[in-house]
Amino acid sequence: MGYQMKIPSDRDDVIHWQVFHGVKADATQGVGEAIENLPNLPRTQIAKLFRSVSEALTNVTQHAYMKPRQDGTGLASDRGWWMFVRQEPDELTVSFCDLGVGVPYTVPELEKHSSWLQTRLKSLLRAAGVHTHQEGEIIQATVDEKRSRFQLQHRGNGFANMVEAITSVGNGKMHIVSNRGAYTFEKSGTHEDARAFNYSESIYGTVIGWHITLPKEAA
Amino acid sequence: MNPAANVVDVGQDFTRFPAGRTYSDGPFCGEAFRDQFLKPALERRQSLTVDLDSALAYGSSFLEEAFGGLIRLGFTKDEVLSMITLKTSDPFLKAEIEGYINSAQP
Repeated sequence: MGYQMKIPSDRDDVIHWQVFHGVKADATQGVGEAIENLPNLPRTQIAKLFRSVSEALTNVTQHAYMKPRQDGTGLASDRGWWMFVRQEPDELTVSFCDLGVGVPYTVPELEKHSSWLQTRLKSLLRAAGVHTHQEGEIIQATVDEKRSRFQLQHRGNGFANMVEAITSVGNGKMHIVSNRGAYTFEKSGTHEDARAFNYSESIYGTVIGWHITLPKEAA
Repeated sequence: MNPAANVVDVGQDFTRFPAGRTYSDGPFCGEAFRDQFLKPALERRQSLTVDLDSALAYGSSFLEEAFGGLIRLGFTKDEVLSMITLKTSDPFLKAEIEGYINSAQP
């Protein structure tokens, strides 16, 4: 992100990350091969992970930079994204981030164009006991709505596909942290748990992470 | 692409790593695939088999724009469904694409 660290690190949890950066939703410049060549992950799960990353890439170019950032820094002028990949013996981590306006901003903006979805979002928030649009619940409602297979006219269901990268594995976790809100989806065997969180400070952007626990025989 | 057999193999003829909806997203987006392969075949009234299995996976926006976008260009659902054959070992992928074609509005 432009920051040059002057002290090289030899820590194992620092040096073993693959890093990718781009502006376009173009997976042919390293991202696709990085996912495809992950060892110890079955082909079907690699495909679901690539589909998740493809959805994240497209969200950035379609929505993330629809307005200037709200922090007044003028950063993120290249409208870019960053992806980080790390495979440990027992866990795979893929993180994807942008410095855009955030899911809690873009979703309500897009839904202004759909009275049906606007009503549905409010209904979901009410059902969750939320009477104001807290950002974590907006993210959760967006994922849940997409998982219910609704498609806003010709819009796809990108967030639901991101979760499928975890539902298809035995154990894993996905998080979406965006501005002041967060959503986590965790799967442990047959148990699934989804939660929303809210924070007092904004990260002014979005971080999506997938953590997949690798089977012992593969690790 | 094998023009004699009217078959397009996505992974060989386009990319193994498709992503994005429109040209503004990136070069290997759904709109580019539609314009390079699907639209010309339909305009020539030629049937086309799309072999999907050699690409790693497809995002929803890519698929919707490539196939559902044909309806927005003016082709009918019957034309698209009858002239384009989807070849894949993944029945969910085939159903997803057919869903985009059926739900797209002209």
